[in-house]
Amino acid sequence: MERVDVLVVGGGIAGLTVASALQGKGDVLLLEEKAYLGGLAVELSCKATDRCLRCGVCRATEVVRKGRIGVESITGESPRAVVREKRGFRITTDRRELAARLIVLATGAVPFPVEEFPQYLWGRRERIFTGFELERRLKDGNLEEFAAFRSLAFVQCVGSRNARKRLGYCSQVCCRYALRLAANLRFRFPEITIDVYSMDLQVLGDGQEALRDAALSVFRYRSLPFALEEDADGVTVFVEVDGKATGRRYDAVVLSVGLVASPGTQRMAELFHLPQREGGFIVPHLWDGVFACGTATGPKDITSTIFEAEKLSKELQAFLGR
Amino acid sequence: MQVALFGSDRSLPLWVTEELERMAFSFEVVTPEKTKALLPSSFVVVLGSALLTEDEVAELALRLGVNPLRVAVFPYEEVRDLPEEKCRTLWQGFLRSLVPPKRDVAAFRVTPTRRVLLYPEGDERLCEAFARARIPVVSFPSFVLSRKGVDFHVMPHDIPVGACVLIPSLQEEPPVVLPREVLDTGRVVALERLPQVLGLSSLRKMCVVLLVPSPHPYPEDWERIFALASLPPQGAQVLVLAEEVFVAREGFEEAFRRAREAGVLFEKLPLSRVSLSPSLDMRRVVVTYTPEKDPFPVRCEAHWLVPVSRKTCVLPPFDKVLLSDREVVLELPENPNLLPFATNIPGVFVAWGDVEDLVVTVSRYLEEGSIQEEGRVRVDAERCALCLTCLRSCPTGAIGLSGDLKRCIAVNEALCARCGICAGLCPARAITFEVVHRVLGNHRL
Repeated sequence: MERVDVLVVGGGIAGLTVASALQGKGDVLLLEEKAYLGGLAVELSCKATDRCLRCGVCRATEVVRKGRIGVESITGESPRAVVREKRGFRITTDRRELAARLIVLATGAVPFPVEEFPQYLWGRRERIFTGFELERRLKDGNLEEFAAFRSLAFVQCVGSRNARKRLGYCSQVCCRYALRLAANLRFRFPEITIDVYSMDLQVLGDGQEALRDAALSVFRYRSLPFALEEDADGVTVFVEVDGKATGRRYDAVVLSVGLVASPGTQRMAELFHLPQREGGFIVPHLWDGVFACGTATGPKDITSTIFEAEKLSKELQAFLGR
Repeated sequence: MQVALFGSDRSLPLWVTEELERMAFSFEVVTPEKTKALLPSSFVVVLGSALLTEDEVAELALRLGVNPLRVAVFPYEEVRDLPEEKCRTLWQGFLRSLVPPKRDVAAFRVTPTRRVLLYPEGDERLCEAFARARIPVVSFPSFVLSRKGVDFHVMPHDIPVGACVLIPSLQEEPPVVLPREVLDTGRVVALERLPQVLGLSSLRKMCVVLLVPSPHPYPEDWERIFALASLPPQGAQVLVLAEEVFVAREGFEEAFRRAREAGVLFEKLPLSRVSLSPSLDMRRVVVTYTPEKDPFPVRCEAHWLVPVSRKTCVLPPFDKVLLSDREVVLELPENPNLLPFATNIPGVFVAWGDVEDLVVTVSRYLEEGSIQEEGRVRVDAERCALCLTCLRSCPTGAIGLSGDLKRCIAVNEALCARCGICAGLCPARAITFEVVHRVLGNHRL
């Protein structure tokens, strides 16, 4: 059985930041369920136009790159059973047994599964993208079909700020990535017109000025569509205007999906008997010796995730010093 | 020869070990944790990514306590998915290129003095937060700063400080132009003072109107606005006119919902659609606005009008304080590698946003310091203009181009005779033989 001081569960940027910050302060081991480190952040793309929009993705890449050489990690395994012992925990993973004094849960979040909004997915779903799909296309440089598009709509708050679906929280990232993506698309394809359907635009945090400029370059409607219908040459967005249903035509639609707790976070909550909040997020600092940080505790952007992880690692250093 | 394989991947493919054995290398696998007892004559091969920077390699060398020239990076992450034969060839070529260095290069860490200067004299919340992190704080009414290495020196007191935190002053202005007559009613009150004012009077049939500018991402103000949910149950009417409601914070969406359920009216519209005038008896403010959704103007008489002020940050004149032979330009850089509190001058931070986050940033800067290398030729890739003066002048032919993109020169340490001709001739002064302060925490200059 391997003995470590701190076991970090989850190899996203939160887990990697904690694990790198604790290097040299104690034995740290990182468990990652997937085959690679980096989590959700490595799937995102830099959204800079001719100026940096400060999306923070490069900062995440930096964390991941440093983590890959600086952190001892086991990939492809996750905790299956936990037993509380006198001093710490005994954890059984898929292939081994570990003993740890402290456990950090950094299991992260995933994009909201858009299939739960069937009214947005009528038709073929070739011109309806989620924000994360668009990010991936941007990252792969796979945007040829967008060159032919003349009009584009962003639909905000898909899977967030929705008390009826028990998702009564703001996902904090979607307005900002939508504005950044819109700015990027308008920079690449200047002929494109972009409409944004939103409740409130949450323009805040790092790079506010650039985002405000981006917000000025798009048309905004203060209502959310109640349905989208896709056909061969476009998408009809149905909105209520003066009490009447109106359809507006667009070449493509991007759904700005929010964040919900990842399946890993849900599983850890069950395993450690942690109470969950709306969206399945867990509450940190509940058990003596179990901590949580990053998007596992609530939706956050990259910069706040890194900061939260840094703060937690400062606390943990005090624990390890004892 | 000895080779220590460094990487966090525990199951190495066969071609790595087989080729090592074939070329009569003795090898061991080290992990970031277990790095003791490395032979001084061994090479450290990092099975990492080609994206690893020189600074990261230097840091690794320092941690392992080996000569940085003996640390080499094999782009394992990029290579491992290729067919095995290709991997083998690349790995063989890489192992052949390992040459024992002629010189000793020492890597050491320089950390700034653990003391922070607040400019102008700091507020208490900041001082407390730094005290909790056990970072001493100083501030002076008048001083000048000069740079010495990684530290700043406060003159004339001659006190070294590691970092300098600038406290911006908040400039407040009303969200709309308030006419004189409206101000004359005496019914205009600041958001902070609203609870005190309301505490004095009966709340029945009282009407309070708030004007919130857009965008207004100040959580303290929104907390106060959402706290007005306690008024409608007591008989008061609260109307919030704002373009955007700030909800991107933990618990804010719920507070927003509670406030609406309690009866606070939120009307989203640009404030340009709002007009203000005093009532005839000069005891109320008449607020008229046209909502976004329908064209009919709405008129209401407010007992209290609360204009939430638009805030802008103004930085203190740091360029007047720092002595330098060059012009000091303090700006909030476009460089995304800098954290939100950092500025273009390493060691200078701006105190906005969350205080705890700022303290974390500053304390990491003070602890991390920078890694210096003595006895190694350094090329500043940012300065190098690729004029190739060095390449033409080098007597030993040690200079070539580095990287896939060939955007910077590289010095082959095995050939370099340390004559210094290139450093003397370089018009951009990109080549240095001395100890230079290169990396400061998260800063790249």
